[in-house]
Amino acid sequence: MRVLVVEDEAGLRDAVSTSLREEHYAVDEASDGKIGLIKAKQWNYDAIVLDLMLPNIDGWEFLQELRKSHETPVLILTARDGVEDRVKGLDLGADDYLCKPFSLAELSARIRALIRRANGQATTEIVIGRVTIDTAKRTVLKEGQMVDLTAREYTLIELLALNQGSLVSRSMVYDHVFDENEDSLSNLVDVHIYNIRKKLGKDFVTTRRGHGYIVETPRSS
Amino acid sequence: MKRHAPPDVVVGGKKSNRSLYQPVRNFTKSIAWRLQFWHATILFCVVVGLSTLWFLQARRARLNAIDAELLSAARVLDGSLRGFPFITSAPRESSPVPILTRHGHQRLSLPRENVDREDGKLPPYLAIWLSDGRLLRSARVPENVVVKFQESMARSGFSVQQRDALREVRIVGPRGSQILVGRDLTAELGELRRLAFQIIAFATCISSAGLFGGWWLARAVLRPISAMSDAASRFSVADMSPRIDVVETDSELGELATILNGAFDRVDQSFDQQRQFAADASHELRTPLAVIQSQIELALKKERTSAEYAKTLAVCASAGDRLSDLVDSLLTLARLDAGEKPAIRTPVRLDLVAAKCIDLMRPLAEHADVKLEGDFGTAVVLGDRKQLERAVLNLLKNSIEYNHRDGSVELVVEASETTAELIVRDTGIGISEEELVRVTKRFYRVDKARTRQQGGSGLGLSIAEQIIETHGGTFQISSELGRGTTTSVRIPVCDQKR
Repeated sequence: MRVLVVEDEAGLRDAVSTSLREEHYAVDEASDGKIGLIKAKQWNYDAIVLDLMLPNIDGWEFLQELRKSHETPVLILTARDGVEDRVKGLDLGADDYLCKPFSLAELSARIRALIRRANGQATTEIVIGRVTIDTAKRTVLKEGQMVDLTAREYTLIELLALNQGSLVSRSMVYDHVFDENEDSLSNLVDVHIYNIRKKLGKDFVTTRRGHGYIVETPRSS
Repeated sequence: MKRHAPPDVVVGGKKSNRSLYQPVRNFTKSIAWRLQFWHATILFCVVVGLSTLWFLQARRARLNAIDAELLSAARVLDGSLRGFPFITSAPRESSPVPILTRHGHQRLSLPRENVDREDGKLPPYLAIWLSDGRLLRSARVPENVVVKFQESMARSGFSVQQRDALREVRIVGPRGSQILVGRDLTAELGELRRLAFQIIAFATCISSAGLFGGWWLARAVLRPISAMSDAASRFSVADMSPRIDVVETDSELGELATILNGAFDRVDQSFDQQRQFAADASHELRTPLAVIQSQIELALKKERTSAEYAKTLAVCASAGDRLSDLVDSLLTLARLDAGEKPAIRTPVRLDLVAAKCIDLMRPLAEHADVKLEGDFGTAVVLGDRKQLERAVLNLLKNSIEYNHRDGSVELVVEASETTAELIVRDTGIGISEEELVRVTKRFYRVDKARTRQQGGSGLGLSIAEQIIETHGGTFQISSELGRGTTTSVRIPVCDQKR
C-alpha cells in the first residue's frame, strides 16, 4: 500500500515516513502543499497524511483541490485541535483527523482503517478459499498455518486480495506497492508473483497475459 | 486531550445563560418607587394649593359683586331719603315716627328689576331707621330674621355683615338715619358649593392623570436600565454576544448603552485575541512536541544502529531548543502584555546597544552570506538595556533571515533634539502590502517554510514592537516586495540635564 506524507516539519515527516515504511508501506514524502498536490494527483495513493499549516498551499486548499478529481482517503495531522478546525477539515473531504502530538501506533492504525474502509472491507480479515489474510497483523495463514512472506510479497497479496474478483494491472501494482524511488521498468512484479504462487499455491493468482493479475473469488461449492 | 467545560456553563442541567439580574427586592428602596413617591407628593400639594386658591378667588369675586350691588341699592335709598321733609326739617324731640304715604313707600323701595329675579335668587330686603333707632320702614325682611338698629356706627362709610346665609350692607343715611340692604345668599352659596365640587373633581382628574403619567414615565425611564442590567448580567465568558438594544441613541441612557456596548465589544475583542493567542501558542508548542514524541516512539520501536539513535537525538535536541525559545518568547510577551514597565529605567546609549547587536548577529549574517553594516550617532534613551537589545536583535534577525544571498542589512542610529531613531534597512525579500498589516501579529510568518526551518516562532516582531511601546516609542515598517524592508523605531531621548 502506498501512502503520501505531506508535512513541512522535517523531523516529523521523517518519523512518520520511517515508521510507515517499517510497516511495509510504500511512502512518498512532500514538504509543502504544492509538491504534495502534484504528487497526490499523479499517483493513486491508498492514503494521504496531510498537515494543515503548509507553505505555498495550505492543507485546506490542498483538500479542496484534491477532492475535485480524487477520492484518495486523507488523514489530517495537525496541531490545530479546535472543534471548528476538525469540522472544517472533515467537511472539506478529509476522512480522519489526528491532533499533534500523537502516537505513531495510532496513526498507523488509523491509516489501516482508512485503507480498509476505502476498499469496502469492514474487518481486518480477508478470507479467500483456504487462505486467510489479517491486515492488522500483516500475516497470511494457509490452512491455519502461518506463511512466511517478505514485506513486498505481503503488500502485493493484500492489494490483490482487497481487489479480489477484479483485475489488478501491472501499473496498479507499481502505484500501490512501490514508492516513487523505485524503478517501475524492472520485472520485480513477476518475481514477487512467482514467489507468492510458490507459497500459497499455483491457483491463488491467475495471470491475464498483457493485462495483469487477478485473485478469483472462489465459487462456493 | 481532555477539555474541561467552563464550570459556569452548565447549572442544574440548564444553561446558566439566563439573566442573573433581579429587580430590586425592597420596593421602597427602588428608584422607581422613590420617583413615584416624590412625584405624587409634589403633585398633590400643587393641585390642592391651586384648587384652594381658585375657590377662594371665585368666592371673593362673587361676594364683592354682591356687596357692590347691595351698596348701590343702599345709596339709591339714601338719595331717596334725603327728599323727605322729616329728614330735611330739624328733628324734634319725641316726635312720632312719620307715617309714610303710599308715594313715600314707593320712593323708598328698591328698583323693580332688583325685586323680580329670574334666576331663583331671593330679592334683597331693606330696613330704614331714624337716627334715634326707630324703624322707619322695612320691606321683605325674611320672617325669622331680626334686623336691628346699630348704635355707634361711623358717620361715613358702610359695614358689611354676614349672618348665616344672609349678607347685609348697612350705611349711615341723612341725619343719622341707617339704611340696611340685605339678601339671602342660599342660592349663591349653593353655586359656590357646586363650584367647589367641580374643582375637587377636576383636581382629582388632574392628579390621577399626573400620577399615571409619572408612573408611566418612571417605568419608561427605568426600563432601559433594567434592560442594561439584564444584558450586562448575561454577558459572560461563555457567551459574549449579549448587547443592549439601543433605541434612542441621543438620550442619556442611549448614550450610556452605547458606551456599555462599546466596553462589551472591547472585552469581547481582547478576549478573542487572547483566545486566538492561546490557540496559536498551543499550535506552536505542539509541533516540536510532536516531533520529539514521534521520533522517540520510532526509535524505541525496535533496536536501532547508533547512527540512527544519534540522528533521533539531534532532531529531538533541535525541537527542544525550539520549544525553549518559544516558551521564552511567550513568557516575554506575557510580561510585556501585563503592562510591566521596564523594571530598570536608566539612560541607555542606543548606539552602543546597536553596536553590540551587530556583533552578536555577525555569525548568523556570515552564515547567511548577508553583509551587516552599522552607522551610529550618539543617542541616549531612558529604558531597559536588555529589552532594547532584544528588540534590536529581533529586528536584525528578521532582516538577515528574510534576505537573499549576498544581500545586506544596514543599521542606523540617529538622534535629534527630542527623538532617537533606529533604522534597520535590508535588501531582503520584502513584504507585500496586505501582509504588512499582519506582520506584527503574533505567530504570523511571512514565509512559513523559511522560518520553520530556521526555528522562528513568529513572535520576534511582536516582541520588538511591544518593547518599543513600553519605552514610549513608535514602530514603523515600510516594505517593497522583492526590494527589501525598512523598519524605523523612534524613542524619545533622555533629557540629560535632569
